[in-house]
Amino acid sequence: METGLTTARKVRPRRFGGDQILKGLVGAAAIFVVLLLIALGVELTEGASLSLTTFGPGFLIGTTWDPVHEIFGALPYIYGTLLTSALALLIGLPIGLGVAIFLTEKVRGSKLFGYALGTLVELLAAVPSVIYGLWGLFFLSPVLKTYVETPLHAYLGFVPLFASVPFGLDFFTAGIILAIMIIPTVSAVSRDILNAVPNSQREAMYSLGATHWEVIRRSVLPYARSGIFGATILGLGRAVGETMAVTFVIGNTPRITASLFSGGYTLSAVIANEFAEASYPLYVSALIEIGLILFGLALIINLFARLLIWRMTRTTRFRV
Amino acid sequence: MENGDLGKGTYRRRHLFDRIMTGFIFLAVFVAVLPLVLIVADVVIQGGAELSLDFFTKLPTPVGIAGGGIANAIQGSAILVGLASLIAVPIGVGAGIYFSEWPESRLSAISSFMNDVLAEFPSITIGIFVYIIIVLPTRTFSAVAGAVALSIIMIPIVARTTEESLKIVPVSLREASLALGIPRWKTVLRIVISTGRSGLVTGVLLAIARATGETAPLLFTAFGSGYFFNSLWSPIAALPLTIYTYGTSPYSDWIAKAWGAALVLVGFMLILNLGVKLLIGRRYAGVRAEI
Amino acid sequence: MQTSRKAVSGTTIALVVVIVIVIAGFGAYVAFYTPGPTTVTSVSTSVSTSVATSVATSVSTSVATSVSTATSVSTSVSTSVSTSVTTATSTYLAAATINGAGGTLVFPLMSSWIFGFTQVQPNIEVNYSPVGSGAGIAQITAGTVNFGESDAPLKTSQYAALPNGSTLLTIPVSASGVVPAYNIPGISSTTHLNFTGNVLAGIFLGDITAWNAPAIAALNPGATLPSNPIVVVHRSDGSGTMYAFTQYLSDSNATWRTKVGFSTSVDWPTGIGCKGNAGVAGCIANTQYSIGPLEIAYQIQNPGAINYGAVQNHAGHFVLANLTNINLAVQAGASSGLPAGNAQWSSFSIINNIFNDSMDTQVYPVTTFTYALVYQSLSASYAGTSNAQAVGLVNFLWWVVNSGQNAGKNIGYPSLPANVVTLDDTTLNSITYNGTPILGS
Repeated sequence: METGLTTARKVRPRRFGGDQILKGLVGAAAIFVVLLLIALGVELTEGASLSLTTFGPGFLIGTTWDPVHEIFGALPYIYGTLLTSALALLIGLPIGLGVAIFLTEKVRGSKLFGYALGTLVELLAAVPSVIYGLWGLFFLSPVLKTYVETPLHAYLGFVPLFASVPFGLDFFTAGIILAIMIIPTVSAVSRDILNAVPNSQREAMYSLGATHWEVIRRSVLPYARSGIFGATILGLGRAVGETMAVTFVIGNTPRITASLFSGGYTLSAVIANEFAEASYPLYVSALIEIGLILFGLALIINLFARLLIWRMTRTTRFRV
Repeated sequence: MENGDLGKGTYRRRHLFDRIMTGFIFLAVFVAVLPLVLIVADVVIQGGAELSLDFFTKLPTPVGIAGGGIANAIQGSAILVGLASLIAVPIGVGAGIYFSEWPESRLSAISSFMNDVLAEFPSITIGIFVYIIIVLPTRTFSAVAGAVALSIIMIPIVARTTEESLKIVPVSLREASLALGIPRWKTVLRIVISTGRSGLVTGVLLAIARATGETAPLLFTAFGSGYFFNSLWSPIAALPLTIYTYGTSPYSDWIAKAWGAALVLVGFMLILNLGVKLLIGRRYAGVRAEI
Repeated sequence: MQTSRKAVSGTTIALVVVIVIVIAGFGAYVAFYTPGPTTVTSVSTSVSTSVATSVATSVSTSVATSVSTATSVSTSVSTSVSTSVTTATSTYLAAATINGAGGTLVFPLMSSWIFGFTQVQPNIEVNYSPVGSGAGIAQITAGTVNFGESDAPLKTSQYAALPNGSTLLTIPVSASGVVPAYNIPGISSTTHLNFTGNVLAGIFLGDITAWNAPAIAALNPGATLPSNPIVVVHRSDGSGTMYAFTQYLSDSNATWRTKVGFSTSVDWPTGIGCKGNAGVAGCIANTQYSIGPLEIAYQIQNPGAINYGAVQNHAGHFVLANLTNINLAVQAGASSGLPAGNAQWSSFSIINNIFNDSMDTQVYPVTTFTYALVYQSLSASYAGTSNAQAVGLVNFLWWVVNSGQNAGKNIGYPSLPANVVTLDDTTLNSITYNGTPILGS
């Protein structure tokens, strides 16, 4: 490593040096991502073109999905995806964050315990989605139905959220399963981010007399804000895109209702259920258009999120 | 940081609030660990009985015929995930480096945004996409197609976590390195990445875990097979496919095999996790960046 | 320090790298991809043995065809196969890998068949992927598999989508039945409720809502039916089982026929959707007062766990499904006439045939065939099929139809009746490779 202090060398900006090579290579990777997305978009649009021309914008607000009579409408699925993802984030994000905070802030003395717990939580990420589905169907769904949904419906049935007769296969169970699935992602990513927050931040707060929680809330979390947003995006990605596990527990009935205990359907689930059996071109095209809708949904959600973040963090990206 | 909030309220009230939040955090951990323990216990209990030497070394047998194993699925998954990582890790890490080190460029903003969108794609749509661009033109299902599908799922995870891990490395570290005359590329590769390597590794491990457990993208690409690996351009078996076809069948011996396969999958991830972390060494369980 | 030249920007390098990678990738693809999944080496080793024997002299010509990169077939096939590849197992066929895709219904049976066939012909590898009947049809149409498998025959529009000039053969290889499974606390497992097609349609339409509705009670005078509401369970994914079930409902009930119709996936008027037969079985087990259509193999494999009812056939008898009466149904349905293998089967309905057959009192009405789909004229232009693959495929199907039918008994599948086997044999005999019949007549 040249120190530059003892040797008086002339440093010229290189025309073609290591800096440019690195920037070129990693830039190529970034370009590749863009190309990939464009290719995906093109293929999806091409595949969906038949359905796009047949149904037009009515596809987005149609509520009937009838393969026999060739009528397709995606609104119930859009609703289901939004609802279950929101539920999953609402539950999974705080819990994942809580685990991460626990591992980085609370478990100071016993490194082995923190290490073991962290690894165990990350192991949840490795469980295949089919197992989540089977476990959800045979274990979680009856448990939730008996101990959570039925009492809630019995006592608070007048609230629209709990109005339907619960069967255990509904938005609620699907949301919970998705939340469980995103916890390892959120917690693993957040934990590394929180670990990387410099101690000077914490020490400064402590020196001002803050309680532990105040230290976390006011200096650690804001510093890690961007990283936690990244964890959220990855978690959201898992929740929106999850195909297998959801179809086992959501009841697979296209329905738009405020009740959490009603069966529902999501965009990914309908593709997973029906693509293999789609027997004529319009049917296939309609299902590919559903994939296109998911594409569009992801674009819109991310656009909003980016604008929000940009508003919130109008500082330099690098921190001292 | 907001002004003056710390001074408000009595110490007792803040202390109580602190206790409550600590309680919530413990509750969160409990709620997270509970399903984890239940699922892993379920997998261990239902799958444990299946483990035997035969299970790891033999090819699958049809219903009703004892013996038989998932050797080809283990081999197939290893090959698929290995190939997928070979593709996804360089691209993902590269993109992540670009997002973090050159955030002001327009390409960075666009690509980073696209990367997030890619993260939210359903795995089955990615499988269909790869089917259209690889399987149909080559007129065969193949390990290559399966690996490509898995790599598309992995890239956004690796890229995003790399970006975040590198972004949180303090600027002062970079500035110090540059001030000493270290060229920028060496700074990035040697110092920044080395500092943020735990996050990077976590991202790669997460991506591998995700790829190993995905079923939908393999249905139309890798296709599944009852035999050992043949060639890159022919169908190949995979653990999630085995779990899916066996687990949803009506036969108890097949269902037991599905749980056994799930146990093998989770066990493999555990070993990978532990192995990698041991190699990478410190920076786990609470070692912090000291500045 | 000034330089007079501008540094090459990183973006330029990035673009150059991308272009280089794309070109290199394309080059690698062209260089390494070999059309046709058979391994050339294994074919050539078998040449020496097969030339000596009378079996398949056409194998020797396949070396030339698979080595050449062009898909054109060498004309050395002129040494036509006068000595046919019989099912005699004294000599082994050339090595080949055959890929098939299709419905999940037949997958357990298929794996038994593959296992059994491999004992007889160890060089032939068969892969089957249970991706669904529709996907099976799509794959055979696209030419990515050597054979397709489907629980429902092709529709007219699917026949039209086949490659020009090609004929797809429909070969029934097995059958299955669909039972109405239910979970009613208070009804013991030895009592089997009776249902008619009309009543089932009413339940699944959502018109009959309580278990003690008059329509159900009239059919089951001896049972005490609870007043609880019926929870309808159906399949969420498309499946041949649902094709058969909805076809039966359409035949029984005019409202169902017009409002819902029949297909592998329909717009169910009511109820919750559960994924796969396993999902339906699980949903029924977990939900009291539920009813749903389940494939017979599931019930046979889990006898204690699933209660199911009897269905009325056209002769007026309430038949509780088992392999025997499903067999009878298949026989009855087949004896009313099956289309030829190379004809279009779009309008064929075994359920209709059974429906119209009022002679047999013991047939189970909700029965369905499951079909293998193969092109009649195999050649390298369809899915890049090599001769060895074609020979292996036809022999495999021959074995399945003639020798493999017993394999299903222990796992819940009926066997094909003799008249169907005869029809299938005729169809298989008509398959040619490059114009030459593979099986001698």
